[in-house]
Amino acid sequence: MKYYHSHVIIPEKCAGRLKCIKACPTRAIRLRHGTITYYDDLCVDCGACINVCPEHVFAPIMDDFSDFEKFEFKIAIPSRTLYTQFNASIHPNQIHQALKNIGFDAVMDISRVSQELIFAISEYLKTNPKEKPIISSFCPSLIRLIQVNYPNLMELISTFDASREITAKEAKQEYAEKLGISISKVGAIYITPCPAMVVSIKQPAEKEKSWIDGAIGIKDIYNLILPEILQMNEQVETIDTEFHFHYGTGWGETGHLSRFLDAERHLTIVGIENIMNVLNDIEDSKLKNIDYIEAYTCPQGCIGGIFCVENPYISRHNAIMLERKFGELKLFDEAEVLKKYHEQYYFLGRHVLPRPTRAQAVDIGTSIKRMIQKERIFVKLPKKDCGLCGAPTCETFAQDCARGEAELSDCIFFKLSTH
Amino acid sequence: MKLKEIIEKLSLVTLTNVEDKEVSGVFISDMLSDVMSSAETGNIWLTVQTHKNVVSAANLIDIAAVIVTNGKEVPEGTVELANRFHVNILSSPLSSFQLASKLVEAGLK
Amino acid sequence: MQEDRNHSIEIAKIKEALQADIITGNSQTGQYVTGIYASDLMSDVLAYGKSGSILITGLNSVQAAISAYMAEFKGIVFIRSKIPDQDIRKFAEEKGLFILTTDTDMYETCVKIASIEGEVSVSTAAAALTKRAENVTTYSFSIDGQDFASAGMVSTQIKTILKSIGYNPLIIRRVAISTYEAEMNVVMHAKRAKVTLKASDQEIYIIIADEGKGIADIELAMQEGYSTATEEQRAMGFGAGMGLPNIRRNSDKMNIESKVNEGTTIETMFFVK
Repeated sequence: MKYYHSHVIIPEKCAGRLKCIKACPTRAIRLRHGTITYYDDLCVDCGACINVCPEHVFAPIMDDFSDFEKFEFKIAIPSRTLYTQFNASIHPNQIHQALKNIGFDAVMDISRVSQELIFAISEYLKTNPKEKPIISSFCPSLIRLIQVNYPNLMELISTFDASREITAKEAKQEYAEKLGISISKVGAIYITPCPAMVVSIKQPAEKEKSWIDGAIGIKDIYNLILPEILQMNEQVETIDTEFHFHYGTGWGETGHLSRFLDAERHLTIVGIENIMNVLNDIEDSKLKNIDYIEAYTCPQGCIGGIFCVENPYISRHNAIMLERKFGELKLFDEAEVLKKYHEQYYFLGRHVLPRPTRAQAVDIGTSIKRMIQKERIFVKLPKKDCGLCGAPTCETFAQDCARGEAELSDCIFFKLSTH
Repeated sequence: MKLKEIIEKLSLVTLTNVEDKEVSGVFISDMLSDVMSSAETGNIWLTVQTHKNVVSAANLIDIAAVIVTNGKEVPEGTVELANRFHVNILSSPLSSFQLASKLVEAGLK
Repeated sequence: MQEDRNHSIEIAKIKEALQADIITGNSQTGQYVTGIYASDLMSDVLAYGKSGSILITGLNSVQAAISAYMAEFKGIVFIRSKIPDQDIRKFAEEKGLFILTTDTDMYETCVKIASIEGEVSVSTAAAALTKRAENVTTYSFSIDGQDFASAGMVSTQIKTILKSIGYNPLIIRRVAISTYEAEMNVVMHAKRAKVTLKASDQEIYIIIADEGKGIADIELAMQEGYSTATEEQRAMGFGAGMGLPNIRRNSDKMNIESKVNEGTTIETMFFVK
């Protein structure tokens, strides 16, 4: 199987700095014969390589606005992070109006569904599920990290769908009905803080097909809507009266779910290294008395996504201000949500499955043989992890040699010792 | 089976100082990446390659001996390096295929 | 060259001996090859190969087909499950070369072909090749008693190894839990321990041998909730008395031996299938 990733490599831009190779948390990237390549089965779309490369060798593949012309009706679904890119003196309705000015027919905010979901999750935790802790399924990169590196934790991933997905489904159904057109003519476009969301739309690990039809990075939309917003006057707040804007507690910060749930039995983790440490502990059954884990692979949570424009600390401040202004409203009816919860409305319908990586591509016997070979080669390598061979560490280089994918002569120390 | 015994039975020519070793099996390849991925410690390795990287690979995997087949001439630099790394290099006028049969006949497992 | 005698082997026989798949040249299986040449270095094929031979190679490139054709070979055996691509097939079909693929390596391929003509007896060949299957990898680690800061390191390392081998996630989970519990026992109660991991395609085997105070009554220690942990250790979240029962629950086979004031050895086994 070929795994979709939301970036392309532009080899001619590469200056051979090896930064990406070291930055990749799953050690998927190699520099082979002067060209950057990566193992697509190991890539979890965290964006670390995109972030770290000064030459922009990794170019995100983004939808272009013109790609959505095929839809008769276009709905923008902004990530909560979009609002935090602006000073709180700019009303969210101004942002919505600006999105409409640039060509969207409607804007759907995910706050109501998010509120419903948090309520539904807390209901679910009350049933005291057997497998604990439940790991939140909102960060697509986290899901992929577990698929690739922690396949034995797959069944801990929450089977709740993401609020962006449910919002897209509801919005498309609503407008298709209202306008009397086929649902395929209604497009839902997510405005995303990170490339991982794009992957979860194009090739979902979570389910068969996403309800969302495309994605545009916050960075790209920002440049389009900022001039529109600057032109608007203060009265614009009243322009969009379709729904009440709500900005839930802690949104845009980390821990927004956990805050709603019983905080004593929940963990919030950000940053992929920190997440890996905690996942290791879960594997050992070391983590006791924790029911729910909310985790985001970006260093600051979604406000640290690589498509964000604003510095994450300012974004967090903006989020706090938004929350003060718009955080009080309760947008849903508990009884109705409970009913939907019992009808399985919020669930994905199945567990996320592990991703068969290169380790599983051969039988255990062959794999062990390679392991023996790898150890044999590894002990004799310089263990300087210089990366000049094109692999991130001497250990990965030994692994590649044992798989017949790298040449000994790629190791500069080995070359020197033979001349 | 011991290396010295094999050298004797197959009249192999020694190109380096030879340290006797236990032989665990045979591996034939002229591609270094194959050797790295699949040869095992204590194997004797039959090849027509003679450059210095042969020594590096043999050393890494602890090959019992490299046998250069087809009677190919081995460059001095390679022999020198092999002596430095204590890698045994032998030579045979036979082809790899012919030598493989001889090794089995000699009772090598 | 010595013993440069001519062979005469039917292609069908080669296919049978190697249990090879035929990729091109289905109609040629009744023909005979008169020589065998095994190499990945194509310049040598041209220099040493003889007309009418078969080439045994792991070089999966059109270069192999071109060299075989130039040296007037009848066909090629690609070893180690290498499947020739469209270019090679097309070239071979045009030039009338037959192509076989086999999963055996070059040595095994040579020995098997040699046994067809009785150059090597079939039983000798079989005996030489049976030994090649066994695969076990062994690792050693050590744990220091009272080193709570690094507790869990060994089970994490073992887990990493098992994951990169590619075992089923469920078995890895069981190994991880029981090794972690055993490691914690060492940290709490012993001076130090040596851990050995042996992994094969049949089973995963872990031995944890510690030097320490030992266990006086193993049966009692195996009961859930039984613990000799100190107040401080419990305050840190250790010593709930679930260690040994958890190890037993998660392993397929467990053996525990202990001598008071000497140490405890726990062996656990996990079956791969």
